[in-house]
Parts: sequence; C-alpha cells; structure tokens
Amino acid sequence: MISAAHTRPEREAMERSPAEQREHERRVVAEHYQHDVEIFSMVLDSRLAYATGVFVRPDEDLETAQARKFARIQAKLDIQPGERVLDVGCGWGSNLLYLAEHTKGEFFGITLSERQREEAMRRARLAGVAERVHIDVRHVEDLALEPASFDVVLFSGSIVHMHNREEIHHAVARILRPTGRLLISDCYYPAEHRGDRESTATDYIFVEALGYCRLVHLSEELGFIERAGLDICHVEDLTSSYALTLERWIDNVRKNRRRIEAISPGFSRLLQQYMTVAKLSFARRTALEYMILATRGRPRVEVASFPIAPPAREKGEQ
Amino acid sequence: MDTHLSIPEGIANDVRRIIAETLRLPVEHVSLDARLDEARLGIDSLGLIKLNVALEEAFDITLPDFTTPEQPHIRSVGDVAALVAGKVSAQANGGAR
Ligand SMILES: C[S@@+](CC[C@H](N)C(=O)[O-])C[C@H]1O[C@@H](n2cnc3c(N)ncnc32)[C@H](O)[C@@H]1O
Repeated sequence: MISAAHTRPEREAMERSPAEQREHERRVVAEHYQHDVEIFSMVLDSRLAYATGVFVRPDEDLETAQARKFARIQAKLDIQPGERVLDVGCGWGSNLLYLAEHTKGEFFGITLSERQREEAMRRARLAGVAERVHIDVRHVEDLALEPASFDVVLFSGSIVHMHNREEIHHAVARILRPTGRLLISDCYYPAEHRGDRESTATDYIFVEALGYCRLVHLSEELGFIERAGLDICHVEDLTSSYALTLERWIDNVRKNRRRIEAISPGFSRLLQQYMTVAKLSFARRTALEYMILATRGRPRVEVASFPIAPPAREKGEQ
Repeated sequence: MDTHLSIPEGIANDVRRIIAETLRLPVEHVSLDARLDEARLGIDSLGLIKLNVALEEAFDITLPDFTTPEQPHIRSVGDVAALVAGKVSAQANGGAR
C-alpha cells in the first residue's frame, strides 16, 4: 500500500511522541471550535453541521443538502431502540441530535471544545432528548471504553484532525459489538499526486485555520479499518457535494461579514480564506471527500439497497 | 485587456495599496501593468485568495475566484482594478452584488 506523501504538519507530528501529539491536537484543534457559536450560526445550516452536505443538484440550498446528509446517515446506520451510538467529534451536535430525535438509541458524543458541548447540550434539552444524550469534552485517545460496548461509532468531519489513525481504528473496532457499524465522512488525498501539498495554501488550511489535519489516501484508511477486523460495506464519493457546501458557507460569510467581524475581528477573513482553499481543492479534485461504512461481522443494513434511494425518491426533507 | 485608462484613480490606488499590503510589498512595486504571476510580486495561490477576500471586504463586493481557469483574463493588477471598478459601479447603480 502506498502511503500519502507526508505534509510538513504530518512530519512534525511524527517527531512528537503519541502523548505529545495528543496534547498538541487537544490545544490547537480545539481553538477553531471554541469560537462563538453565533458566528457559526450565521454560516452553517440550522443544525450547525460542520461537514459536507449531500447535493443531488447544484442549485439546492444548504438546508436541503444537510437534511439529506442526516437522513442518509440515519438510513445507513439503521439504529435500533436502545442501541448505543458514539459520535467522535460531535461538534454542536448536528448528527448526534438529529439521530437522537429520529431514533430511540442512546447517544454519546465527544468534542475537544467545551463551548460546543454546552451548545449541543442546550440544543438537546430544547429538542427534548437530553436524557438520551451524553457529551464529554475528551480526546478520542483518552476514551477508556469497555470492549463490545457500542453499536455505532460515527466520525463526521473529525477524523481528519487525528494523527494516530491506526491505533484509533483498533480502539474503535474493539468497542464495537458484533453487527456494530462504523461510519466516517471525511477528506482524503487522491493516491495520484495532484496539486501542491507543500504550498502555503496547504499550510494555511491545515495549521493556521484548523490547527492540525492529516489527509491520508482512501485506500490507507480502508486498510486501517480492514486490519482492525471490520468489513468495508460501502463507500461513496461526496467531493462535488463538499465544493457546493463550501460555496454556500462562503456566501454566508460574505452576507454576514460585518456581524462576524464585530464578534471576532479577523475571523470572517480566516473563514472565507480557508473555505476558498478547500472549495477549490474539491472542485479540482486535489482533495476528495468520502463517506465510508464498515461493519463488525454481518451488516445490519443489506448493502444491496445502496445507494439508499434514487434521487427522485430521496427528497431530503425529513 | 487594456481598459485601465477608464479606471477611476481612487479605485486604482486603493487596489494597488491593498495588493501591496496583502503581499507586504512597497506600493511602488505594484503598478497597474504588473502581472499577477510575475515573480517580483511573489504571489501564490494563497496570495490570490487573500487578495480576493481583502478586496471583497474593502469594497463590499463579491468577486470571482482569481485562481480558477474560468478567469483567464484577470492577469494584471490593472485587470483586477478594472474588475473591482466594474463591480463597484454596478453596485452603486443598484445592481445585485
Ligand atoms: C469539523 S467538526 C465536525 C462536527 C460534527 N461531527 C458535524 O459533522 O457537524 C470537527 C469536530 O471534531 C472534534 N475533534 C477533533 N479532534 C478530536 C479528537 N481527537 N477527539 C475528540 N474530538 C475531536 C472537534 O472538537 C469538532 O467538534
């Protein structure tokens, strides 16, 4: 297996001990997400999903595309009453709360940001699901969970911030029960070397804007998952959807520039700049976005029915 | 594109100043006929994006991404200034952003 050529931030990470790198991520990644939620409310959809939506037409709005993404994740995970779900990097609770409202599972989330935890719990109470939603501020590598104690583990837009992938996949596989599902939605480098991975733009987005990011090849991530003992069920490409999602976010930054600046000077600039770098990368396919589903043992949802439904039947509003 | 003569001087000077600030260059190096890809300007793709955002912010306009192949006619500082001037006047005439 060919591994992705390492970027400068990755090379630096490899020089740290795992404990030092965990400390580093805890500090530099949390910073972005500690910004005022009011700012993100002006830029993101109403559930504050900070990850790609799923567009089936380029003229759709952000709300529709994010609603479709939540519905698709729900369909792929098929959460049964009482099943235990762990959302690693739950943000302000977008997927976690949608799933809590639409299924009867028991939900656990972790994030590096205390402000995200507070906002997600506030929303959980508003939605009347707080008794089935538990959120901690914790680094994924600090979770000490019982083996075979979860039915679902979800990473949406979060695993990209984690350097220590192989160990994390082993830990995830260990906590999943038989028929347990792992879903990852995130960003990968194409195996063919495209674009300049040593550019100032790469450094800007991976370090200055977002603290720490590690993009591997899809085949590397799939290899980690397989070697941890899970079976890959389904992979879908959401690259063009992410370019469109970013375009909507950028437009919202433009519309709210003055208000964002009033809360956090310089932040509207940072958002628009990093989002433009990302949008152009997905548009040129120098970065790719995938949603991966894997299972421990026999899948709950038969993959023969994927993609979930043809676009004409899948409305997005749920 | 040689429409640089019709750019209002105020806008041309503001654009040159913003480019100079974004690239941390003396403004004398940023003449209207300097090409954006010229080595002396030392502008890379991140520089173009930063410039884009700085101009949108300063003039309260929406610009196309300079770095995309769909914008091959934006080559020089003067092209940027002409584009900005066009957007600013469209907006003043009540045009949509
Ligand atoms: C881009 S946001 C995605 C939020 C959410 N999953 C969504 O789709 O809306 C990334 C999230 O991952 C969290 N995160 C990043 N690294 C983490 C780590 N090592 N352990 C736990 N959470 C982490 C951040 O705190 C943030 O909440």
